[in-house]
Amino acid sequence: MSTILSVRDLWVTFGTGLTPTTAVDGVSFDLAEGETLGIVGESGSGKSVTALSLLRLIDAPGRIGSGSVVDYRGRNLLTLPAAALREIRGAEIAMVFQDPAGSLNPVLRIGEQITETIRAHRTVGRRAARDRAIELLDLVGVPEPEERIDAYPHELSGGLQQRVMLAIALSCEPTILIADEPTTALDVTVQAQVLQLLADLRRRLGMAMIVISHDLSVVAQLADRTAIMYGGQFVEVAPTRAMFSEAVHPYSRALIDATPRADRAIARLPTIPGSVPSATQWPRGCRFHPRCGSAWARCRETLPPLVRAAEERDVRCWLTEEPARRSP
Amino acid sequence: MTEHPLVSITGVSKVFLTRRGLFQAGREHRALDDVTLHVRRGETVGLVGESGSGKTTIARILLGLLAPTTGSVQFDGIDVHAANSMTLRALRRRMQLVFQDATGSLNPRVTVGDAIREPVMVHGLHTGAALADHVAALFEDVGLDPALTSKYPHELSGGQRQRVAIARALSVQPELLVLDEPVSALDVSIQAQVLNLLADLRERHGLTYLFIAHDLAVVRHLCDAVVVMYRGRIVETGDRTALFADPKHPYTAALLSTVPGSERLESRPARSDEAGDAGASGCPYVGVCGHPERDARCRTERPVLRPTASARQVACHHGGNDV
Repeated sequence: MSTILSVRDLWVTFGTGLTPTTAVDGVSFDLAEGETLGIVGESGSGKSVTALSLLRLIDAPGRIGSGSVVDYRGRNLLTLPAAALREIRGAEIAMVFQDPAGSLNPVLRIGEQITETIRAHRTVGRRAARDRAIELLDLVGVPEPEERIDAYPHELSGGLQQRVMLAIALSCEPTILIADEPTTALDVTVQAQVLQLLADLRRRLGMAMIVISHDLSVVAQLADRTAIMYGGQFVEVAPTRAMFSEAVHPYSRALIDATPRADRAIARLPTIPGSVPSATQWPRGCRFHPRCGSAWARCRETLPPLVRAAEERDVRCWLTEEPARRSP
Repeated sequence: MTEHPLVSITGVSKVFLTRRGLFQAGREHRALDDVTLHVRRGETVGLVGESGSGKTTIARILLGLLAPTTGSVQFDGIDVHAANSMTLRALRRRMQLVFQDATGSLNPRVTVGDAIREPVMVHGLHTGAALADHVAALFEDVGLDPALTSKYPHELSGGQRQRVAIARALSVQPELLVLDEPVSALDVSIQAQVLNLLADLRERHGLTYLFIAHDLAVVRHLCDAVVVMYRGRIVETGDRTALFADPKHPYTAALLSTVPGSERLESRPARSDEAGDAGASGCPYVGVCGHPERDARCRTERPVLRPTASARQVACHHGGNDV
């Protein structure tokens, strides 16, 4: 599998002055052709900012400090001229956001919103663009697309609105789809349908995907590989199945254990003491050490690097060097 | 005969009139349709369903915030909607509500200590030094440092704010807590802390919970019994373990099948299950139902909630066997 997106040492800071806040702190990963990477984290972990900065969608006072995002044609998206980047956004790399109601224009019929994207990137006539829009609505499973194309967003349910967002994102057959919390605003059964649709579309269109979610189960269902973020950094990256069966980083383990599951009932959920630190005051040393049961002096002093701990598994934890120190 | 249930909701329907325009006739929207639900003292009942299924409407009718169109609600044997204002006031002390969004339910200009003091004073439970002690004890009860009483809501984290909201609900020593999506806005690690806190408080104070949630995993974790709603009707009720092990109603089965395990999704075509108009007579779920025995009867005859073999109730012509 060839790499189609290569992210190296991405830094994103917010605020000005002497002590800007670091939201994303040295994130690196490769996305292979047709692969789905899941990024999981709690609020404030930097997962959404990571996604947005891949397409340079960070507004002031946010700033992409350093790093590179190189696509399959060798272009660095972080230094590309604005006009060239605009051609990539929405066409080769498309994005779907959490809140479809907020992302759709309430006073435009959905057909116009789909054809707008097609016509921005392709030279096609109105008629052809409309036919394509109907085709797309059918592809994403909107019933009666010929009629629904003239509907306004408020006339559609949340699930259908998210399908329309997907139709817009897919309109130019992107190579990479970035989905930021694609199902969070939806009801459970609708969520299941949209996840199913994403899995299906990925296979049929051969897209690579980056799925960002706070919900482990969403990522578990879609991703080939899962990255867990904490404090603006990747703390563990592994194939999804391996991540869920035997996470190595204490935070990954704790997060997986703290998630209630419907397939079993336990008397008491294991919890993670304390709360997520704020980006303005990361603790010294490992960012997770104040909440970690296994932390010792080294963790309080020095930030561990993300290292290859096993085959296909990268971990940012000193336990990889001194596994005997892991508390049960 | 055992003691009467703490909460008895009997045959409650609620019809809202939606106005389409200034000169157009209103349309009826049946938010609740003949809902009967009992909560025994000390029990935790989970109310599950999608948005618009009527979960929150039930909570508001139970608390006397909304009048039912038909049916009655009794709390500890007292009819909530026939009570005079004195009785209602006393009842309200005994049943308290915790919302999903603690940020929205706490006044940003009032310290969290005052937010808790207020209901205690309104109900005249404590004054002076006893009041201060009471508030400090409540903070400790929900796992907060009493030094935080002088803070404003924005100075606390989301998890701490939800603890304040729980402390405020507990401040008047209620018997019933109605928890409306109390953890769905919280991060996973914080959600686990609050769920454990709710379990502890229930045991410590002998509380009864009506727990409204869309997340089945959370419901399974905390609740004794589960009530599944669909479009304003109860479609299935049962004991947690039995219901999760063997759902009888096709909607419950569909809900449970959406519960993500760690299994990866296979690819199969997915079409939106937009439920068609069920009409007044048939089963509300008929439009999207995937039950193999679905037939003409489902379209014409409305299934009523009836007991099945395993101490459950199911509103489906084909779900489970009659007793």
